[in-house]
Amino acid sequence: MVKVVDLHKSFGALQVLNGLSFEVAKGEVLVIIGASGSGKSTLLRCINALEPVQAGEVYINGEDIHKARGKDLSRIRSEIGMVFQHFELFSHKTALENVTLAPIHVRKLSRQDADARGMRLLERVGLPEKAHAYPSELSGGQRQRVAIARALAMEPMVMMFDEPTSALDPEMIKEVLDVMLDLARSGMTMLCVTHEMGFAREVANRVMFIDEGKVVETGEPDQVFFRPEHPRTKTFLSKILI
Amino acid sequence: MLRDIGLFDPLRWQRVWPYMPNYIQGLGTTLVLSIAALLLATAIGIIAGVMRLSKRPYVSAIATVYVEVIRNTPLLVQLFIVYFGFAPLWKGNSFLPMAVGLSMFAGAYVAEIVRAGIQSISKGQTEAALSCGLTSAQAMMLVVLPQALRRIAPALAGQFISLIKDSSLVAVFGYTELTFAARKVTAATFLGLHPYMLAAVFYLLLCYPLSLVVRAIERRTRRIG
Repeated sequence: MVKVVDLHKSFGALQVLNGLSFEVAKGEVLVIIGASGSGKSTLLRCINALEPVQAGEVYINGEDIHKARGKDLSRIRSEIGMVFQHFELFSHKTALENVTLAPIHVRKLSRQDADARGMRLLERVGLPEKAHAYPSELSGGQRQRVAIARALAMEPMVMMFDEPTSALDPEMIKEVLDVMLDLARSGMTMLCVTHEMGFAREVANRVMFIDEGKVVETGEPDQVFFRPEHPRTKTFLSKILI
Repeated sequence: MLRDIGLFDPLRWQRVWPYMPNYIQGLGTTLVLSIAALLLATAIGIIAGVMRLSKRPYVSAIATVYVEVIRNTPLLVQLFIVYFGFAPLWKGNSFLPMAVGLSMFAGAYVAEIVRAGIQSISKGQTEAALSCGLTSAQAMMLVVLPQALRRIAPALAGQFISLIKDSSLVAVFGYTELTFAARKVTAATFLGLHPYMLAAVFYLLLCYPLSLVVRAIERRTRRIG
């Protein structure tokens, strides 16, 4: 489904991804952990080609997204739902319009069909009553749930989450995680950058620890969290697990 | 000395009064010219503003040259160039060169406002749009520009107010708008002060409500944030 091969990414002299490779199978939930600055967010942004890379390939269903241009690039991107740390809802659109924008303009759905699909998705994330609210009228947790609905609206093959709960107040984290849990149980292929261990243990098939732009260790959640093999993983976990 | 000026002399104001139809007509012309120039300037400004942010160096260079040339030369000189320099284009029409001259001028300022507006929208908005499968052009048209335009609406309205005032310069070319009407009244009545005072009042009546509208827009769109 998603295959990353020997990815190299640098910003000027700063090497962020340093020959990173891994694969995510259909229906798999991969949780990516790592220290701040270890390249987790950059990795996700390279996977949907928001950032160009210096070397390496990213295959989405067999197509190298970094070789695609124009409409092809947009088409491949629409197969990858992306949820951002800071939501990035379109502030001039209502919740429902946020969800229907891409289906209307990319998939050329009629407004009625898009609205119907949008409402179903807002119900799925538990926010049908907020359909006509603007992002500024929603709480952080609600915004993130709308953002998830927006990403789902394009019926992506894989969903990527870039620290989706890191910008949330503690009492709102659960409502977002619940939506993500539900999504994972429905069989969605997911790549999640998150340090929510409960979430990882509940649904992740694998946890991948990256450091200095490289995969240090990959394994089942309990193994990586409680019996890490690599000293760098141990050091990192000792800092986040209290 | 103040008596010599006669600002409050009813007799002098009486001499101006019969020319009210000229003022009304001039006001109408000023309004039509300003609105036409505003629409054209907005179009030019959006295009040039987007071009300035283009990743292609020659595209942004063209827009930069346009903006800098316009902003660093006097409007009156620009109007002379457009009016006389391109005279064959206008085929005797006096509205076109004035509207084009004014909108080329205002367009450069609108371009800078648009550029600042686009830059004020976070990059994350574009990235979210691209992630949904929109093309860069769609991301600009559907996500970034609408938010940028809303944010710069007050600045654009301020620019419109400037445009109305700048349009008085076309009186130099004998174009019968508000200022030229005042000039004609001065010629007919030999009064230097009162005709222009009246013109100023009309400009004020035109521009001040616009300032109030700007404030109302700001309040109304605050909800969307």
